[in-house]
Amino acid sequence: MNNLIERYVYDVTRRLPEKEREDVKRELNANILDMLPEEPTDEDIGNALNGMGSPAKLADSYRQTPRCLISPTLYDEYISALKWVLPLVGAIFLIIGVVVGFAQAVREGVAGVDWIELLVSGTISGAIDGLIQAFFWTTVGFAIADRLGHKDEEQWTVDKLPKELPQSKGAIPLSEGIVELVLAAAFTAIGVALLMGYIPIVFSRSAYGSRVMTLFNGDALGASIPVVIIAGVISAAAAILKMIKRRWCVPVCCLSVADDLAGLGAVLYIITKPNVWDTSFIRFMYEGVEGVASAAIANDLASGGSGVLVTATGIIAAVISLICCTVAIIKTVRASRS
Amino acid sequence: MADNERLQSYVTELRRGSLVLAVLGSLKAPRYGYALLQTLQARGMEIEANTLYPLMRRLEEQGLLKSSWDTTESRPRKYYEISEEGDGLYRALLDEWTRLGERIAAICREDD
Repeated sequence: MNNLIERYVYDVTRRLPEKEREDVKRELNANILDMLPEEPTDEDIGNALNGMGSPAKLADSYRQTPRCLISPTLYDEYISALKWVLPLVGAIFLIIGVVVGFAQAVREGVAGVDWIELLVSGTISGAIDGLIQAFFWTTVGFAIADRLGHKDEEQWTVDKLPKELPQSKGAIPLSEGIVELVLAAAFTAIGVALLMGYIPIVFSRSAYGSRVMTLFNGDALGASIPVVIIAGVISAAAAILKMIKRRWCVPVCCLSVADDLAGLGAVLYIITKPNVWDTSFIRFMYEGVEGVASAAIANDLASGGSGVLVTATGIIAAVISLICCTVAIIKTVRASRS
Repeated sequence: MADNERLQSYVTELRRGSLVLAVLGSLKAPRYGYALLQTLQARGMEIEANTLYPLMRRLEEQGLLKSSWDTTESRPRKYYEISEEGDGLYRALLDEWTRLGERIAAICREDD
């Protein structure tokens, strides 16, 4: 316990800026010694230092500037920035992860359960990485802005108030619009690629190893691509309007319904065309997937248009679209009543 | 928070404002940290070492005090003294303090 004072003074001064350390050290040392009798016992020293309190607090009171990364004035803006940046980045990286994972799985000829695993792990790690980056850079940006910024703030006047009161009912969070926009773009792109036969689909793992084949017949579907693109554009427009208006009003409702119907139309149009399915896929179905009545399905697919599978898919798609339309209408009606 | 603790925290608030005045007012002649601490405490100011020492440094950084190291004694000591700028501020602050006391007395008397 012989260098207690020295260690105490060190613990205080190490938290202070370089240029102040030496002077504070001398002064604090002198002050502490002044408080003690000529030949202080360890107990005397201990009591005196305990009375001085924690070095962290003492160092804090020596400092002039307050210590925070992002000051209270900017903090609210920082949080709301995070609220839209993180979902946006999350959505983008999720989609990139899916597409990349897919391509990777195909390239490496991974089959069956493995490619799901690859897809999921690639997506999650990509998304986490992206989110961490987004959080970091947003925080750094605000910390810098805080230190550079607002020393001479303009005088606040009434003009700076928000233009409208928020509508409590029927509000659409900004993140929803952004996510829908990104998904619209992504699924349109994936849809087009699928239709053009660019994305092979790996189906099953069997004794013969993995089977890679194309789902759709590229040639017959060239004409369907514009349909998908139009549906995608309507979807994007609906998302953008949601971001602008931020609540369920009549225009938003109309576009949303149009989006659902267009999507439904595209799906029905494609699956009811003859020659939709690629021959390799049909052949595959003939050869049999374990436990499935394959011949029947294969015939179904080959005939196109009126088969059971087609009808079932069509009905499911119609029901989903109908539900989405109804939800949109209900939300709009509720919003207008508030 | 117990009642006494609550009272204490408000009292501390009250004292915090007057501390600078007390320190400036006691440094017409040069003094070192511990001596000033004892003087103030003897006069009834309840103040701690870990409040006073940083305060004196801060006042010096703001130009209200000036300091010099005395290395003649067995132990070197830092002496503080009020500066010219500090003196001007001190008088204005003391003025304000007196006026404040009168105003508060008037307000509180009124509400009785």
